[in-house]
Amino acid sequence: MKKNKKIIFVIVITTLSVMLFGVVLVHATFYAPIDGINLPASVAFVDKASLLKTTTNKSVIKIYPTTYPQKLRIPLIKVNAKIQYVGITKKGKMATPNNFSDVGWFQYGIIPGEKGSAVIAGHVDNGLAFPAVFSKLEKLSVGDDIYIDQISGNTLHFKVINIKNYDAEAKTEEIFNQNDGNFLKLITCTGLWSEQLRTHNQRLVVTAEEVSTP
Amino acid sequence: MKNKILFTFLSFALVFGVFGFVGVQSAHAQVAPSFPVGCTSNLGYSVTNGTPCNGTAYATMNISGCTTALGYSVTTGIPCDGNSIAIQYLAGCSSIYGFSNISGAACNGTNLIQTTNPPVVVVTPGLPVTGAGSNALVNTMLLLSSAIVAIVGSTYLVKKYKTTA
Repeated sequence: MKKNKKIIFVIVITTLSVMLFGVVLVHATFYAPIDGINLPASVAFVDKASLLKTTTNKSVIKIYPTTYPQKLRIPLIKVNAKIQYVGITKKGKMATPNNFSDVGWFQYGIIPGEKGSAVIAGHVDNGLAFPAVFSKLEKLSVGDDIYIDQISGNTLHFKVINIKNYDAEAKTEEIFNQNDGNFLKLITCTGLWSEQLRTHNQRLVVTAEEVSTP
Repeated sequence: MKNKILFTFLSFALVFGVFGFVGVQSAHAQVAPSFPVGCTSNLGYSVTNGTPCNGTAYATMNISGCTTALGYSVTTGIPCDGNSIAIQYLAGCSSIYGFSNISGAACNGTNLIQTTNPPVVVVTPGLPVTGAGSNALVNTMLLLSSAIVAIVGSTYLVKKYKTTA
């Protein structure tokens, strides 16, 4: 009887360990932490309410504008990433995509290809410190090509014009509100890990400008 | 003999006539332009449903004096949509601002959105947190410890099974 209890105990512990291993492995490899919040429609640059359409069976569907971005391509560093639409977090920071292979476009800001600064963020590494989508972003230099595929099927072409590091807590007006052209800003973490901030102490911001419109 | 020749001639005429008529019909069907509903050309947008007449996501516009498909040409006064009737707004739009809630296309008839707001981001957020590698040590420790426990437990159970069997 005592022996059976011991065996049952070992079976339970072994099963739990296998489950824990699986959950940690999948979570650290595929799922990025997100804590985005919903903002009122009036905050958005685009009127979000106008994009909701009631269908014949009374369910509400969202029509995404055809100029919304769908894919980000950077041939030099072999990036071909799906674009998620992200907002802000509870702490007031730009939210990030929910995995390590996609990138996130700040949907309350400028649409890529419009006048102003469209901002896209991506992770530099995953929960096991393996490279994520923007791990090689620092290898870009002025003049390199970046492409955005829109929902319509059109492609926007940008060229890198500036690469700059910012402090993690820096003011962001310069990044989000540069309005003298059609800009695309790509952001990822860089620098050293800060225990105080619980994140890297710097951000790499690659600025690209549109060179042609379809 | 005369009747026979006449009959043969008429038969040929009838056969060629029928084939000729069918041929003309099919030739006509091949060359006749067909445009989407509400379009009389492949320029601009349909007056019925506001979709581009060229069958693509964006309408072709090469009408002098027009910068979009809406309204009339400022030089010739003809409708800018390429049809006989000018369209005020595109389908799914109630103004020239924003996007159509039917097609998602920009309501100003171009491939660039026009908004009532200046191009300034209303909410300027802080910089994103885009690195998860800082959790790598904790995750690795969890993976290692759970793997060790799983291996030890499995080994114990296999041994027990072998001794009882």
